[in-house]
Amino acid sequence: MSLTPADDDAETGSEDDSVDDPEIPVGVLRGIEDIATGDTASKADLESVLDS
Amino acid sequence: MSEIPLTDEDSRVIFAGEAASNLDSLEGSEQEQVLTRLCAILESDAKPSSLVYERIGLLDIFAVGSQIRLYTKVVDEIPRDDAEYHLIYLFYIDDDHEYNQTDLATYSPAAEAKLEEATSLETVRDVDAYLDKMDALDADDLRDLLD
Repeated sequence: MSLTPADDDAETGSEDDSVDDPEIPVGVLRGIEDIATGDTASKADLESVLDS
Repeated sequence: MSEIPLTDEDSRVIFAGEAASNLDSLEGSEQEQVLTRLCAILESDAKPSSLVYERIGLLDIFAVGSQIRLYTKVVDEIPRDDAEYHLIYLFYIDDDHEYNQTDLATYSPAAEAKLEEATSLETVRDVDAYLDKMDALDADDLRDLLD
């Protein structure tokens, strides 16, 4: 599985199929990976975030 | 005018660790805006999917005011054979539209496949146990956080 940062091919100048793919914040991919691995935030986790 | 489908099912939200980190980086008033918006979506009589602001492939984006965007995937009506819930996977909270190129990624077919796999519930037999394991929150939980 490859979730590739947008600039990985920036210096190669090569053409690929990703040219028309939209760009999104890279954090979205990290969030998808978190869900895939079960890395979720509990209510207690969020309480500590809001208290910090 | 388009019709908004009404719903009797309960809605839940699952925060990815990344989204919790994003929430941590927001100012207090922005944190409140995000939680208030999520609470309104969960409490709405309309299906969450009908409240989506924008879609990119399978990504569902909710707007919070004019600046903040919630990158999610909405799964309506689970389990399929006897719907009890709607589920929102919250991946990322975006409060900044000024990006460096290194802050952006290509939403590639591989990324979309990963998203589809991560949010597929086809093999989940016990939805309640799954929601518990994934720390799914309901509107009451969010209200507690806002208090």
